Amino acid sequence: MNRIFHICLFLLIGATPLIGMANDGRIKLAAGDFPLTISESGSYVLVESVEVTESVAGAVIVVNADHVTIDLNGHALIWADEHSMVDGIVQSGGVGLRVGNGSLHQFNRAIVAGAVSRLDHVRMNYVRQVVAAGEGSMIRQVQAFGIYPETIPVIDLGDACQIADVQLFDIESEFSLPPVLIQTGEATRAQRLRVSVVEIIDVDGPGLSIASFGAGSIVDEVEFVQIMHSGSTITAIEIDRGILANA
Amino acid sequence: MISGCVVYDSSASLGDSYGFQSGFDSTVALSSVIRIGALFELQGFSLPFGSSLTDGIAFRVSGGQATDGIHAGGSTMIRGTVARRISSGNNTAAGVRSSDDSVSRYVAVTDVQAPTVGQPAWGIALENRGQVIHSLVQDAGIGIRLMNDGAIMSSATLSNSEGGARMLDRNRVADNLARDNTPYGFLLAGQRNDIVDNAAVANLTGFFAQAGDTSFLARNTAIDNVVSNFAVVATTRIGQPIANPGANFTVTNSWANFSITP
Repeated sequence: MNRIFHICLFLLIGATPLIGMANDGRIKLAAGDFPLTISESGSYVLVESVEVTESVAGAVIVVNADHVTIDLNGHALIWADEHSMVDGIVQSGGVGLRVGNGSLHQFNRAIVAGAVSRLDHVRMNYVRQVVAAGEGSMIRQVQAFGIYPETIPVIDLGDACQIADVQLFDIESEFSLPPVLIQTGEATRAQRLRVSVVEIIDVDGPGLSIASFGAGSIVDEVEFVQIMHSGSTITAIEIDRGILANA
Repeated sequence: MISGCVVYDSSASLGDSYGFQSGFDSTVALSSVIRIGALFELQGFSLPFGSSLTDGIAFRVSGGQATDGIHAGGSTMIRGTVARRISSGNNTAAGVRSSDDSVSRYVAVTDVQAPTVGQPAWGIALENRGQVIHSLVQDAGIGIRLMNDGAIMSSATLSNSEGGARMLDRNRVADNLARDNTPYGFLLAGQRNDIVDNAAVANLTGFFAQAGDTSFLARNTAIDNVVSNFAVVATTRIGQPIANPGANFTVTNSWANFSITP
């Protein structure tokens, strides 16, 4: 009996992951856990700010599961090398990624998420793309500054997304511009977006739209301030069969 | 209070179905119903008497029988809300359907389909004393339907296949646009409506008043409607329609309507 107990105890200890478990059942993430692949649904919490020097599949966190919550818990996730940026948190193939309450710095694509994902109370600095998320996602209370877009939109959302209280500040680009900075699918509800201090050089480019919303969207309380653009045509807002108010 | 909730990718094969169903006097905000289906009746949001829905999304709501993106009881308020791709396989469909004394403000309804003949696909359908303000309906059957004593203000109906806006008695309709609707932009199917400062552009008929109508029409503009700009019966109280006034025109009749053809 005693032997069986000890074997069970050994197996339990052996099965415990390196990453720890918080008292509330959430899985704790610390510096030694990165880069990280998450393969099971669950709730994860960052317990310290982390500067990461290695990536997995081109990202610091790869999520291969549905319904994963990552609470940055007031901390920062930082990629160490600003000259060879990787992606931050990438969900590949799943739905329902939630990221909130912290900051991400120096990433190519800061957050890539599947359908019905949420990004809430997140701050970003020195990124190429703030977020790409699938249909039905909610993006709220996001601030990003020092954005250097190349090729892909700064915010790229699928159909039926909610986006509110988002500020993008200090956007610069001189080459490989995306055709649009903020792009959403059909039936978007967007409100309180502020884009300020944009410097775009687009001499030979196809033109640029600051924001493009899909059919049947409602957009209100949008502010674009200090947009400096040289080169081809620029359009502030494109909206197809929607309502635009207080812009 | 329901806030920040999503119903996603769900279907029901038995009974009537709801994405969200709240109790009386509820507040629903920042919530979405996306890709839901049912074999029978389906309501994306079901809001009883006295409830409000703010910043909602109903998207791809498809039922076998009567299907509403948002179905609201009396004295309800819907604001800042999107309904798109709402369809019924075998009955009526509506982006928003509300009972008496309800308000739809900043509501965008697009692409509502009810394929059965004789089963309307309404964009926004309100009962008595309903108000539609700063809203848009496109690609539905009947864009906006009012019964009695309601209002449509500063709204647009575009490319609806069974009419832009339709009303019965004593409604006020002001500062709206109806464009590319068939068979009419504005249909006055009752009496004593107050129709002012609207524009009807490129519909089959711009303003259409049915037999016995006694509505008041002033300062409306009808442009390039295919069959007729104004088709009103003799009992309609319509300010003098000024036809093709030309450049730099002067008109001293402050009640005049304008009829412009190519």
